[in-house]
Amino acid sequence: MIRVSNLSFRYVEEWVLRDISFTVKKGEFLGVIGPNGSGKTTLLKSLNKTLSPEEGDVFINGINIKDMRRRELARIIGMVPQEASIVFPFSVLEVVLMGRSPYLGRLSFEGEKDYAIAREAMEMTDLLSFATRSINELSGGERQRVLIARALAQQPQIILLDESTAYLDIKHQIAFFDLIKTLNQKEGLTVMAVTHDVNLASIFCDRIMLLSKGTVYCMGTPCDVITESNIKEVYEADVLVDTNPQTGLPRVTLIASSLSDKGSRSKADAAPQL
Amino acid sequence: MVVNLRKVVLISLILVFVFVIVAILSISLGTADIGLMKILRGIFGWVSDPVRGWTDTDRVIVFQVRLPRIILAGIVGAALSVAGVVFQSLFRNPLADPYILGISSGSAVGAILAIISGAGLSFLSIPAASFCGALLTIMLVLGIARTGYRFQTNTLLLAGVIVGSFFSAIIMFLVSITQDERLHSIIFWLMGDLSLSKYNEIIIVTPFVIVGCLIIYLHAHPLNLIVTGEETALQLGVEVERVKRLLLITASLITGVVVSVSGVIGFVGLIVPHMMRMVFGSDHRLLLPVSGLFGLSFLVLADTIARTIIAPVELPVGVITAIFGAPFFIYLLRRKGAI
Repeated sequence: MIRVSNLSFRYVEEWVLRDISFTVKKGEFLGVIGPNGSGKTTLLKSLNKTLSPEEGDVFINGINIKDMRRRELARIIGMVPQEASIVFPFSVLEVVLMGRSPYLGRLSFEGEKDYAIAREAMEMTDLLSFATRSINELSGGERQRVLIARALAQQPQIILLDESTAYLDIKHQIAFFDLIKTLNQKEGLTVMAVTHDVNLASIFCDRIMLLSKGTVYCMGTPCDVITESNIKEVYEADVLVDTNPQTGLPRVTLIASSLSDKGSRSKADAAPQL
Repeated sequence: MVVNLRKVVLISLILVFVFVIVAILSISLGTADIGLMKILRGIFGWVSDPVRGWTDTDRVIVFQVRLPRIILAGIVGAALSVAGVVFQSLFRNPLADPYILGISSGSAVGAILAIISGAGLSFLSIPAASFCGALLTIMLVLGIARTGYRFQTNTLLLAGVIVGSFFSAIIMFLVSITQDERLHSIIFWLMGDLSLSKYNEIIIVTPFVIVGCLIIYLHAHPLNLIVTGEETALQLGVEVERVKRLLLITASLITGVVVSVSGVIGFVGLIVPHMMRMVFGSDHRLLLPVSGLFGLSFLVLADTIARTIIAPVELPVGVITAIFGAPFFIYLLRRKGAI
């Protein structure tokens, strides 16, 4: 489905991605984790020509994306960004319908079929009652659902999530990933999700890619990748990894160094009394 | 507020009808009273008897003075409004107007040089000089902001402001060293003035504006996507750089063309797009045509007021667009509470 070979990218001088190669199978749910600046978002954006890497190739369904027009690519790959800043007041339905644009002719307006698909996408994301509201009036969580609906209206085979739940509360994070997982299992949607939340990645992903300084540090099942030593080595942070009682998958607990010695702990205990 | 073709055609036809009414009213109003009834009789009795009750003076006033002025005002209003929409959307900035890239100052320098040198007396030399100024500014600003084949929006804005201030300084210099009656012409030009409209100008300007607006309208839907973010537009299949380049150049050119015949008429390109957004929403497939068509009526109306309000003295139309436009805009802003 996705094959990346020897991909390297730099914005100016420093290489952000270095000689990355991997493949993603159809219907796979791949998580991409790694510290800030490890190249996660850059990697994602290199897969749909948002960025054009200097070296290496990306093949989607066996075709080099350099030989594909953007419109063709947009029918295969949908992307949900971290957040959207839309200055002018578009309605929710209008934004979701924009997902149909790779299928529209230059002047043609959306037809019955496009409306049906947009409505379906809005139903899946629980947005039907918001259809006529302006996107600027919505809360962060609702707006994020609009972006998901827009990506779904593209009817993509692959969906790229770029920290799509970073600004959502716990309920909406879980709801978001549940929806994506359902589509992944029922419709065979291929998913590649960049996230900072290692626990979410552990629960939902078939495989996880751990990026470090622009290279793939390791890639495999959550059990293989999420280990105390890997996290310590790549993130330079101490964590506790045990087993999630619900899923049997690795669970990460953060260790705060300020609380690990006695002195500061007593200070923390005293705090609530103030 | 979802847009379809029927809605676009319907609303456009209504606005065309509004323009016809505004134009008829405007023809009948002025220092020399012609009278609405006489105009209507002239129009509807056209086939049987074109001169029904019209004197030669009437005919000269209507066909040689008022009609060309109305047509030109309409074209200028439409072009500035459409260009305003394009710049606001490309820069994703509600404050952008057709002059944001410094085109007004550049063309003003050209026009003022023509006025001062006395070349302004010969046919079309002020518009020609002014258009050269506009063209020079566009090339300068786009040249400064270009890196490879890309235009970084922020760099463009900065380049526009800087080049604009540079030319403004030259304008001030030229104004300071001019003393006789030419100063009056300069100030009228700077405030935007339609009093000397000629059919020649209309014939030259109209094709540019029509072709420009068509090119822009063909990119109405990509413009919708670019407004929601350039990266998003890329991911939804838009060749963003190509569309941006084409629209920047087209909108700049039609601005330069109309400024060269009308002078710097402020506020139209800012206020009309906003009024239309408040009423009809942000979808460019509707927004572009309604802005253009409403721009027609808006500037004709403003110009009619400019030449009648303290008749026989005529004001520059730019004075009217700002004096009446600003309060009305504030009213809309307060009422709807949105951009």
